[in-house]
Amino acid sequence: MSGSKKIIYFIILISVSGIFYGFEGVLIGISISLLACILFIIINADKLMLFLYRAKPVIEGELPGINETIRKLSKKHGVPAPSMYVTEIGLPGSFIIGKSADKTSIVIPRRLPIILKSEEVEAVLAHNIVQIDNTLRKRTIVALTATALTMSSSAIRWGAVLTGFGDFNDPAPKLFGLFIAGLVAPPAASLIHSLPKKNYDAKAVTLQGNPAALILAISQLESNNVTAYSSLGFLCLIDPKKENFVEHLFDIHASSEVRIKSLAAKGENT
Amino acid sequence: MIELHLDLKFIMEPWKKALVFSFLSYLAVLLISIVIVTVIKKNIDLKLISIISITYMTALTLSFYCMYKIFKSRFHEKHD
Repeated sequence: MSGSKKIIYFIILISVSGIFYGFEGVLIGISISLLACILFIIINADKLMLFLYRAKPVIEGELPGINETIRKLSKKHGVPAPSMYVTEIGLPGSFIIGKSADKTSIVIPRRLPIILKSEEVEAVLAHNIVQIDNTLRKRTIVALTATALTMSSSAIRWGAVLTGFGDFNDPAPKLFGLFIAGLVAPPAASLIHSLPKKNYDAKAVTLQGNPAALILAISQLESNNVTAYSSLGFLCLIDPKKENFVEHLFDIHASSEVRIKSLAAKGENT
Repeated sequence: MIELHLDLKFIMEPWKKALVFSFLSYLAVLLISIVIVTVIKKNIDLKLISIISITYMTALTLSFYCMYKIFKSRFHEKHD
């Protein structure tokens, strides 16, 4: 029986028992069911993230070279190699999620090997692999919560489009979207900013040993950046482009100039 | 966006501007709630509206103060 079916049966069971115990019973039953749903979401945060970003497992022969690079980097970092997933969505970069250091998944956008050279891809993957630590589970749950919250803004915007307020890029749907973004962005962004801050750039350079490749990867991704998924920037190498000023709350990385300067200095020291 | 429509220039960091806009959005939610309560009650119940407003504004101010602290520490750290 699949997990979602189990939850549905559980909800039905609780609701039916609630009916026997009156209105209060129903309320208690629904509250318990809601708690169970939240628990289910927290437990399966990584699977839900894969679902939200339409990630599919990489089949053999797909993304040649990347599999080997991931294995090599994981071995060097001393962690098990993550499961590989690919998505057709144009994300600002690849990202890693997981339940623990042993159960991790890396999501690679299809466009990544197209816009980057192999050593730049290796730098991006190194930046993902170094994120496998004891905070990964927390980061995954935060990413899912932030994604779900920010997606509501898009949903309302589409709702406005479908109810005749104009095209997706017309002022009225944009204003509806901006209003909802104003409501959801601060809690989502404060969750992201509450995570412990770590210098993954430096760690990636230490793992890969090629600061120039990471600098090039940052520049290349910045010049091919996308305007979407603002809440995902903290998992990726760069922050996505901003569609409105509210999304600036999700800025997590320092500016490219500052990062490149510090990476260049690190390269000179090594 | 606001600057474009009102032809104004706010000398503010983007994250502060976003937080101010968000605060205004939450105030709009309070306004909508008051309108709904008034329509349901079919009368302006000042006592109830005051209770709702005070509770809501206290919770809102406290949560925005916490968020402001978090953002300020992070964004200033990033610039240093």
